[in-house]
Amino acid sequence: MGSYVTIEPGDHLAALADEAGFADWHTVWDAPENAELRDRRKEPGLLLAGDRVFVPDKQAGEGVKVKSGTTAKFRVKVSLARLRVVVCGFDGKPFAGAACTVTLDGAQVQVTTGADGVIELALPPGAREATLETNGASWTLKIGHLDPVEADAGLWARLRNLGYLIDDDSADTEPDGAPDPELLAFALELFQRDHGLPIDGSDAASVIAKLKDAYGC
Amino acid sequence: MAADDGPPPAGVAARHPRARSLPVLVAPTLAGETNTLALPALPLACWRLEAARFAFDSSVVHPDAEPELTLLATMFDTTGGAALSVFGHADPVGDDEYNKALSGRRARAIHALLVREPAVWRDIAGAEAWPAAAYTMMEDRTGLPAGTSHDALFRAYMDAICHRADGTAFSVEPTGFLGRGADPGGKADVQGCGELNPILRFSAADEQALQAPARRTERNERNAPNRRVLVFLFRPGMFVPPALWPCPRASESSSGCRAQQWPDGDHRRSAQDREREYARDRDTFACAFYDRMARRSPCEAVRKALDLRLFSAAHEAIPGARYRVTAGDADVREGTADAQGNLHEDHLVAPNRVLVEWDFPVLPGEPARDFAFCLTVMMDASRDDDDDAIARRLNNLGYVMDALPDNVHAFQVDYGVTPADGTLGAETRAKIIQIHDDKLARSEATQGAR
Repeated sequence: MGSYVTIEPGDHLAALADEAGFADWHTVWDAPENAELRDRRKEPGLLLAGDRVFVPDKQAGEGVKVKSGTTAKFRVKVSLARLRVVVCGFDGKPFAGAACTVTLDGAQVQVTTGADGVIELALPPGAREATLETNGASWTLKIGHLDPVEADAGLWARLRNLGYLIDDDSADTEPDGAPDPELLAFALELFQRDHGLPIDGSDAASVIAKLKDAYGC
Repeated sequence: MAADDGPPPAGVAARHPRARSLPVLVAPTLAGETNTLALPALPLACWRLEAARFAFDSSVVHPDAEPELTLLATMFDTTGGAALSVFGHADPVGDDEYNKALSGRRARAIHALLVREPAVWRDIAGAEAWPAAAYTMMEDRTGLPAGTSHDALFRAYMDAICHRADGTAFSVEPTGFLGRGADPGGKADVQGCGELNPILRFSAADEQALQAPARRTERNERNAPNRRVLVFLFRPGMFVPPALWPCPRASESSSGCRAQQWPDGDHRRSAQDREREYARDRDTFACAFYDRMARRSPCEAVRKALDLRLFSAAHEAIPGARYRVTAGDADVREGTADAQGNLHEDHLVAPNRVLVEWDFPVLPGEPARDFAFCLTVMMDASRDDDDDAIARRLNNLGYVMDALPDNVHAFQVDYGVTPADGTLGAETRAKIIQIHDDKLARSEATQGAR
């Protein structure tokens, strides 16, 4: 049987699967009922609020017979969720060897970015928030809140995360998080410059595609 | 205050608009999703030193930089010990490389002053061949006898002019800069931008006319706002490894700036058909990297004079009106209008809007009271003549009703333009421009040398 769940902001597939009792989010994602969703969203980490996900019922397996008095080894193949972040400097280039303090699910860990600026951590299924501190910057990460790049909010968030769009208190921000149009256009111009695109401050399809590429999803 | 005894208040320390701390929305990594986060390049605050505080064509810091250095000290303390980075700028007159080098030396001179490194001044003094007068000036200021070793004199002079408001010494550790002094050439700590980033660019016609030898002084005066040293203050603890900093060293050529420029950077910084200001037009900087940091900086505005006549609700001028002018956090002035009700304030470091509040004088024996009238003056109203610009001018003249035709009508009645039908005909338009531009938003050059 199973049932459909409507994604709300901050829901992500790994958490959803965990709540339904599946250790591996593939069990949900790969359900035949989600074929259309897979086709539309491509990336399981990027669902949009309003998306409907089919969550199968948890089925008891056939069981494994083990003789009493013996020791049996089981190997379970599970794809765990991770959190992968590239830390960049002021120039937008990967910041290698940056000492970072990450607080995730209540635990604080010290990690150092690799040569490619990357840190990657195992993501506990229920984790919805993390903090990342490095070189005087401190970020609160809302995991699962990023929208696909095609959505306005997804575009704004990527420009913000990449440091192109810096909202300030000199203008009122719209309740839906829309940035000051002047700052948004400037952010797009800066992005276009860095990526060799014509500079017009627009969010044309070519810009969106490049942004997805530059951001990493 | 109309009168001003000392030198014009040329320096400014101001907070940038506060960055809103939005949570960072990220995707979980299920099938390779990667999130990219860049350190935010938004300074918390800025400080500007006008080139008038340097000797002509050199990096000798004048003693009258003292009050401005105190402003920096206060801002540094207010931010809790920000990470600093120093940027020198030249005006567009002359050779790129010459200007890059001069602006770099001036920025280094300020950096050396802040970290108390007399050896850097010795180095610059050699390169610029500082005249005897520079040393005499420092001896006068410090009371040290002639013949004092240059290092000792520089050090004492630095201490004399760079202190906090309470007189205690103000210096910054070399590690207190954005690059933490990690690079011997000062990468991320100090740089010269040369003439890449003018905040005021003449029209091509003015540029041409001002090339006449007889008008050279005027040209240099009008270019004064472009000659400046900026210090940006970043979050305390912020650090950029020198290898990740895009600017070339202060002592290097401008070729290293190329990669950071807008593709049309040379066009942006060149004279075009109309005069442009960075704070309004946003298109005068060649360097995109600097543009990003400076975009909303209150320190990157041209100073303006403000002349207003203060009226009562009955449209009568208020002799001796009390007023307060607020041009951002950095600049709040209170004063008294003259006998005709005229307000005059010089050297306003104006963003685009200035709040003016005023009231009748408080008579002896009367209790203090709040201001009864206020008006938001748009300092950038006087360039264009499209309907928006006309509406801004009407606003500045006190016509603040919602609908443009109502304001036009009221203006026509007040100034006897007929027919008073509320339409923006050529005659009305011309009259509004004339009345407004005679009274308001005169762009003004601060005095100073190259």
